[in-house]
Amino acid sequence: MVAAFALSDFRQVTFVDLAERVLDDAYRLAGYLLGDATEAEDAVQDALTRSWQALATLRDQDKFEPWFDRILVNICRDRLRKRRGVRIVDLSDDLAIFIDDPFRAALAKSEVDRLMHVLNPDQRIVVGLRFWKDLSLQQIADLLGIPLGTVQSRLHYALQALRDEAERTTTGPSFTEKVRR
Amino acid sequence: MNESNLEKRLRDVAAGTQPSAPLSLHRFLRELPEVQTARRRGPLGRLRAAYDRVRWQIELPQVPRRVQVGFGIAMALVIAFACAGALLTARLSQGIPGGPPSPSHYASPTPIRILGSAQPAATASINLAMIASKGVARVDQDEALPMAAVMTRASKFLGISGGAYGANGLVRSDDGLNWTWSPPADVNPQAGLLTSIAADSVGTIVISGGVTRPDGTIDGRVWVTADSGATWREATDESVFQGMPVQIVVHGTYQFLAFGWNDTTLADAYRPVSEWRSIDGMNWTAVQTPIKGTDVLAVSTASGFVLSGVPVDTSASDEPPIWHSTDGVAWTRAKASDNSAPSMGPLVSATVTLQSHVYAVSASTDGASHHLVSSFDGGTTWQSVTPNLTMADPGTITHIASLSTNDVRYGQIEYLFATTHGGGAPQLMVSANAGLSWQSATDPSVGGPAGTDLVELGGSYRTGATEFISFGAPGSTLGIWTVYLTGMG
Repeated sequence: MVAAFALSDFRQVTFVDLAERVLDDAYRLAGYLLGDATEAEDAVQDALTRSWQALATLRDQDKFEPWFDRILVNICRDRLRKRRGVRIVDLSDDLAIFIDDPFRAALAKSEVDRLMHVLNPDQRIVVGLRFWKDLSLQQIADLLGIPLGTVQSRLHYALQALRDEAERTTTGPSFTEKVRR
Repeated sequence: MNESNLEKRLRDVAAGTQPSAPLSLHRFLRELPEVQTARRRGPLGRLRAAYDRVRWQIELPQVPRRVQVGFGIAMALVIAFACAGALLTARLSQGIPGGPPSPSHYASPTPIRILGSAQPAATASINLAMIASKGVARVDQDEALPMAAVMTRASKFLGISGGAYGANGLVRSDDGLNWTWSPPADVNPQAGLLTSIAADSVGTIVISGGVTRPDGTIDGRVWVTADSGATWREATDESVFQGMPVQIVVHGTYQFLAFGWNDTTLADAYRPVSEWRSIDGMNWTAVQTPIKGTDVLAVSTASGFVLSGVPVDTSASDEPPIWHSTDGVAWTRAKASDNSAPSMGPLVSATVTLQSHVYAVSASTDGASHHLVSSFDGGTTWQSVTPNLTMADPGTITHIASLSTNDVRYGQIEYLFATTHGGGAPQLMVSANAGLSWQSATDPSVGGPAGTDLVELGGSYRTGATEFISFGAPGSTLGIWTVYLTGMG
């Protein structure tokens, strides 16, 4: 009984310790991928719950971070896919409410927010892992469990689409403005 | 827009100050295991939880799926043949007079847990036996030698022994019985003193101490290993320690705390004790403490930390000089649930049991005697423990340690060990009822350390299955004793 309690405590403390170390990075990754702090928090909560339930399948504690990131990225992908069918209208300006969302602010500041809608979820994830998580292409391939060539092509087409969109909208109305119309 | 321009814009998104996970997310994480565990009800839930616990502990090699399936089929065949054989045997024994005896005739004896080749020396009525381990260095001069040890991820022991005046260094053991010693330089070529060791649950081990300056004083340092002591790295910025020896390091609630003070001048007794905290052991930040002077006692509990020393603020003299904290930053003064607070001085020794009960030795306010106190709520409230006449000189308690062991009939039992100094030679006492009654653990029937071999109880540490206490004596060998549960009372 003691041993069982001890193992249970050990597992619990270990999980919390491991997750605590990656929590900030995970929150940021989800935030930039989803572009929304509230949704990022929900996604990380989902990832924590799933990883706790699947902890027995983790063979090597040293690989906790890529394992956890993979779960988180899958959750973000699901959320991005669901979002594609939903028309999002940003009312914050109209309501004169400033929402203190660091991710939306960062994306808007770099004027990336008005370009990202042209990417599909898989492309957005590759872009996010490359530029915001700063992973190498090989690390992205390992994390997503896909061939390196697939990562390269997704990134290539994603950058191409972003470039096209940037040039197309240089003189035209912004994405937000178009949606409002 | 060219490619580099686009990439720069993308990278700018995550440049500069980055948002951290909100507190609500940290709270969710800490509550998650309990919430999830509570959901696993019923036989299937318990079975799944048990499987998870075992699976988490066992490092299985990476085996191809085909081999796994083949192994599964082979095991199924073996089990099927075994069942068929058992059925056949049972049928034959029923049908043939004088056939094979029933399986109970072949019942194996109760398994005996053996550590190494050494057997418990003897048993005692308290159901403990103790054996001494070997190979730890001699300790010279009158230096108390609390040995502290942690368990590495490789299930080996790593500890420090001795003090500033003798046998200070690193001790290692694969089995807890046979130990090797090496000087502080084994951690770092410049290391002059190792003071304390702590480990988190993911394999980070931190040793505190310092390097020796030309004038012989100690300049504080912290060293960290993530590979069970094979290699050590120095904390990123030692300037945070301000040249002060780092005297204690503890781990709890997902962080390391360290405490340091100088004790070279009279003025040091009036300066606040320094505290630092770190998540990873490498990067430390300074924190305020409510105590001053040249000595501190700090232990971690399941809910946080307990700290004791001489208070900077002397106005609250009706409260014990003990503080508790969940994060090591905000310290709250403890309360006494009886009228013992006015006589309570700083704690001189403390132990935290597996159930997070804290037992401690408190010096009286005039320092003339010691007495035993306890807390069952993580150090928030304290009360005196009054041993009965089985402890001859309770006022001479100097050290306390604890081990928790499992009894199939009575469940978990917390054993307390204490050293007393009444009369002649020091005595090691043991209690199994929260310190109310005691018996000598140096009794030959227990086989523990005897007579002048024993001076001070160092501390206790445990593995999943075996538990140890350490003790030492000036001029003799530092002892590590393995404590066994030997049977039912």
